[in-house]
Amino acid sequence: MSIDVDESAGPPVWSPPEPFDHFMPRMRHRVLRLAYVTSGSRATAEDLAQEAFLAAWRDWERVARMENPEGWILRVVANKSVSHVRRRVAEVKAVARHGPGLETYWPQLSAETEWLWHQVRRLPRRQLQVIALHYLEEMTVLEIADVLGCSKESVHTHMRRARSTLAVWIGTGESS
Amino acid sequence: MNDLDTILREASAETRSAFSPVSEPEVRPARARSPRGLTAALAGAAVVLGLGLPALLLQPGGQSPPPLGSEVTTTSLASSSTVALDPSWLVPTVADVEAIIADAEAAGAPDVLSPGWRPPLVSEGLWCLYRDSPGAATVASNGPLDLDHPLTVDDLLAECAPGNNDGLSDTTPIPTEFTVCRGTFEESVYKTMWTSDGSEIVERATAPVAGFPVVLGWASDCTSEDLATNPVVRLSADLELGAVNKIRSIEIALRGHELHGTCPAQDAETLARSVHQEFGTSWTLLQRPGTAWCGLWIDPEWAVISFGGETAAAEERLGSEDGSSTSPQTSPPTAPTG
Repeated sequence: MSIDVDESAGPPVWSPPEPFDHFMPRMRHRVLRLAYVTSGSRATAEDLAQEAFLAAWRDWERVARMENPEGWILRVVANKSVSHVRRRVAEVKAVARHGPGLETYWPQLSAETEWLWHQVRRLPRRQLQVIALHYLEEMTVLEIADVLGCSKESVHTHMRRARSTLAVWIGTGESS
Repeated sequence: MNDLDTILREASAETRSAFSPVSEPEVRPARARSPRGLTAALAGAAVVLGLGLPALLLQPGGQSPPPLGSEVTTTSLASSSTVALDPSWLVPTVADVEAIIADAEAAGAPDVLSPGWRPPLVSEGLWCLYRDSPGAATVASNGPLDLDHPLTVDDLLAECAPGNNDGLSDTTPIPTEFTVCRGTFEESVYKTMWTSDGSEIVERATAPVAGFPVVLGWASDCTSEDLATNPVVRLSADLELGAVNKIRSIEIALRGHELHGTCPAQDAETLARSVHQEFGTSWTLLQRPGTAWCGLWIDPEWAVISFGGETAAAEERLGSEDGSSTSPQTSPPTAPTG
């Protein structure tokens, strides 16, 4: 596919879809951190990220033309992370892929932060997703609703319930 | 006291910063040795070696394995620059099974306290697909983990039966017939994924891969199915459960054995090549940078052997005077087919 660009008329209004080879390294860290926060396992996070990118690659012609490919892959990894079966399989595969002796680079989080994410992972699935997308990915309610395919009212409800529960578990006051 | 919102924002900021690309250090081969380096190597090799196994290893009553924990086997791998895999490692023993279970329990593996739980094996992976429900990639690891109970068709069907996995929704009619097929992926998809991720293809697969079990919740001839899975899986009716059990047997043997050994990093490539040679031309061999110690791992669904660790080739490239890049070649993705 090609486009004719008249340079005198300013930038073209259409641009070709981003190549997958650009999209993957650009999104890799976001996908990995979301997978880790929602799954709680480094090896599982890597496996889930790999699966999510694989899904994107397989359907890249369509995904690349979406209005929000970033949101699409975050949705894929968020859903995969909270699926019991997928996590179980990922954990099994991780045994073969990583093993205790294989040390790949992985960022270190403070004990307090690790503990906080552990509490977040105790939340029901949707509440966990909403909290992770709002705080970690800094998404608005509307953006979360778009990514998760639900209403903004539903996001509000999950957010409110999650905060209430976390406030008790963590022993803090809930902000307004 | 900080309020909840502040705590969550601070934790998120720390997490974002930790995972940012600029925080990742430059990858260079390390000199350190992992005391448990063989863990990864053998866990991976367990499955990789399965299909390329010399026949004598699978014959009942064949060569007896050496005592587990033997220094001989550990030393033979650790001290040799040209690793020769000892075939006797690949014969599972009761002690291997016990070691796998004990190690999982010690590690506090998920579900470890559930009745009947035992560590799942990567070689027990399968797909369950249904007409009107999402499918599930799962593991047939509900039966006993011992040497007298190989994986059976009944195990596969039981894993895909209602109640055993969440791929079958409550509203879907329960399948009355099942078909066990052999599934394979397009290997080119995996190659592109891994090269984009920074790995380097050492040897490309040139033969069809062995495949993995795919259980359909309906009667089928396998070959005529046009399934809308992602990734696309091609089905055939020639699944060899014996081959799956060969992999499983070797996985048990080497996972049990790995608890006793160490593996110098420079042996990673040698070991991987040995495994690859054992298997033949059906597996893709990749080098994965950024790992300091001997590591070898696999993905049986994709028939890929990957190895990390310090290698002579990597050292040479990093130390070259012309400063040539060690970045892997990445191939542009082919447009997905309809």
